[in-house]
Amino acid sequence: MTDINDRSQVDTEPVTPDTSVSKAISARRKLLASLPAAIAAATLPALAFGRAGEMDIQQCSEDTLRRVAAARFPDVTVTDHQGQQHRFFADLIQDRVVMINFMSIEAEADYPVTAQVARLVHSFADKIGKELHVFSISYDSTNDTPERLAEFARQFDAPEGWRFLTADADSVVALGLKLYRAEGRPHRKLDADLIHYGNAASGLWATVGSMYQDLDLSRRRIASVMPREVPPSPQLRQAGPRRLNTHGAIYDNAEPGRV
Amino acid sequence: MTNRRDVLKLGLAAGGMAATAHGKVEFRQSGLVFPQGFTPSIEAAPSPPIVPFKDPLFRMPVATPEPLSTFNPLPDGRRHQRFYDFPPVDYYKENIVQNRWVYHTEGPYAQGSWHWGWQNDAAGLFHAPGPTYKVRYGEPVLVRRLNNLPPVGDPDARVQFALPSITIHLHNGHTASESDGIPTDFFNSGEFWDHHYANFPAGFDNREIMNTLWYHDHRLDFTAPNVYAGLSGFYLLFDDLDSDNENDPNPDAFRLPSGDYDIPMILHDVQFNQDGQVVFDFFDGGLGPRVEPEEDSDTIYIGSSNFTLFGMLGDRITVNRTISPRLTVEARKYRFRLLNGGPSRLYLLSLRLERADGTVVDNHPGLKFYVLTNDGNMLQEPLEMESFPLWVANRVDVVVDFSAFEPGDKVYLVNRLEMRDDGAGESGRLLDEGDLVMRYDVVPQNPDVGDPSRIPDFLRELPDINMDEVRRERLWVFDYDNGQWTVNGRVMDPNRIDALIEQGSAEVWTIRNSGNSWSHPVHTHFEEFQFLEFNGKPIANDSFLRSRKDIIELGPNEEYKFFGRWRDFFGTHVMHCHNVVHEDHEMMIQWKIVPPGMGD
Repeated sequence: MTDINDRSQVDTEPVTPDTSVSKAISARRKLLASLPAAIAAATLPALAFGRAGEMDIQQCSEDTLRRVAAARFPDVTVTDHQGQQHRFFADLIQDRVVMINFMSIEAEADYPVTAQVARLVHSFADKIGKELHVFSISYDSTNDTPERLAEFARQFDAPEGWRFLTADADSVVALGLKLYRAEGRPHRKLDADLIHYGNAASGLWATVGSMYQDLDLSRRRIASVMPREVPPSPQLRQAGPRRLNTHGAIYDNAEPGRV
Repeated sequence: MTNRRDVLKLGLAAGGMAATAHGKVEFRQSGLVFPQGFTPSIEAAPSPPIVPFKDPLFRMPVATPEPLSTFNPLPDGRRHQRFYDFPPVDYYKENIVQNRWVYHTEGPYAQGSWHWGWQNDAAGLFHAPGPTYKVRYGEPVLVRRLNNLPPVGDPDARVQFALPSITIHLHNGHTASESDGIPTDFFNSGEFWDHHYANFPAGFDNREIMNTLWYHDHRLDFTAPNVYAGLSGFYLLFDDLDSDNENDPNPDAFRLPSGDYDIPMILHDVQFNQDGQVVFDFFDGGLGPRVEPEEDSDTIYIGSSNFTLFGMLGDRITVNRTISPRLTVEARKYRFRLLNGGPSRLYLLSLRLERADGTVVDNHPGLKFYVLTNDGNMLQEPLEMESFPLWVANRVDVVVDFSAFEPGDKVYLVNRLEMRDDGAGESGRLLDEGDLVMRYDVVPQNPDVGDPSRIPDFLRELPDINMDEVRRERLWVFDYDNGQWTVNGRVMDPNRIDALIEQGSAEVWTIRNSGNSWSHPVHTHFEEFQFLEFNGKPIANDSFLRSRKDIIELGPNEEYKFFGRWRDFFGTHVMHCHNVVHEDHEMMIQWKIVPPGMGD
């Protein structure tokens, strides 16, 4: 076994205790790669990995898979749009309520997911950076430099607490892999993507479609995982149903007349 | 950037999608697609070992009404459609709280797993599943549900993965929208909601009488974790025929096994960490102060490597929230109401006999089910079946006649269906031996009771299908696009109504699975329907599917066509995939019943 405290190992080829097993997995993956579904599967890491060749992509993906399987959340190094480096989990996520999406500057024109995140960010106003932290992760590692992301952030008037992150392709794929189970054929007609939201301290995680219409409801969905205090009272409040023939938001029937 | 070869390959994978100079943006933003390589936690981090068939089956208490004078504030009829047409004869309260629940009395399980459930007062029994309602047609009830769960962030909140903001759906009650428990009608910690159940058959047609219903959480985005955390239970409806009395002197009564011999059983598959605590597979439950990883590294649960949207599988199959239980049965007939409570696992159930001397028999003539219902609706005639499928939210009532066996025999309930590793559907294979779900230990009949029960030759007639009532047809395509579950190419939008249905009309709906490897137990609320066709062919008269239903067992590439009616109330309801992980991500549509002339 490799001693992880052995500094002589630094800068040498990483050694896995189960290299033979890895090779077996690798062989199996190569077999899978010959199947149509796996061909589809191999293509999008190609985007994140930039110009890497087919086998490189396969190998990178496998390394990533192994790395992710051992982590509760890939604690990869990311760089934010202000040029600061962070450990993704330890520095940015742990013990926080967060909102996370994947994006690229180039794709935004076709598919304005960051604009949708921005609507949510601004609806939370001064809670951003305090009660809610927002991370937009670029999967276009080649083009989306911190400088370009900083300019992009300015376009959305991003407050402190909304960070645009870039990382090496391997790390981006690791994060994507943790947050997605995206296997199958892409469908370009579908105008929807996921915005993840969660409370890492409590372990609550969910998603909201990025092409949401109702800002107030989406905001409320995200706010629902924030810590909240219930005033101590023996008397519970009636949440619903609302009185018939009164109007209000569909999701809180207790407040007659609320629009 | 991608080179030309990659782009071409990408185009191939996308089914002929045109390759452009901007191959990247052909994929919607984060349509990140990753290689195979998913190891489910049931393989990577199995639950602690158990001693199977050690613990008796938990029998849920029957819900008991409470005096109206104990309700403060009093229920308000102006909040409910047709409240004064169907004034409640009984009022119930449910106190939903967090406590420890013992799934198994050996090993780390014995200390109890933090759970959501029901407890009337601090001294009362805490239990999950919830109380079993035994109510009758013609006797409306009101249920006040009190959310006394610790709020998010409370130091006492121990169920880390579930959201203490809940809505309880009565599946599949003929219930007005505001009492149906739709995903957006949620109530938070410190709040309550009143549900009015009118308990009359749809269209006042006695052929629409249902018998086995259940209630469960339906919270927007969090149904899977919240049901998994404990929020499910039975709601049984009785009438003059299915009368809850095996000695009923009424010559028309079914006289099915009743009382102690009529047993609701809900199946949930659950995953545990080494500390015996329930885990939801996608994340480890965070690093909350109560996880205390430094204390004992065994208690750190590493969830699956993906935030999987495909499904949640547990390796411990529980019945009434007991792992692999046993039930002592007399050598007589029993009615078992089998319900698959999810989240994602599908079953194919059969029986196996083990003689007292250890001989295993798979072909004994007593090893069969007399199937009474499909989705809780009486069939026209009972069917004798050696096995039957039980998809998520299916309710199948069966009679098993243990008089075919000897005292000392052990009969096992066996699941033979293998799931895909990722929980998205069937693998397409059957398990050789199968999982032993629970065990029935046969003892002699109680001579004071005997077996007065019967299996009638005829049950309930089906309502007419009258195509003249059909106002329009609709097509709903269930698929998977860019990492999300879709219906007609769209994800659920709580502010969008996908169908405006005129009250009193009938429609014909086609439900299609465009995926070639995923299964979807599709459920539509409010009224039962009848299948017209499966994959373009009519349903045979003696088929298990010749029944009123509310679940469509939509396998890969399959298509069903059904006839349905929408009557008696107005308002919004939903249709969704009942693999509740798919539902949460966001395979659901909303339909609304509107006055005649206002439909789409």
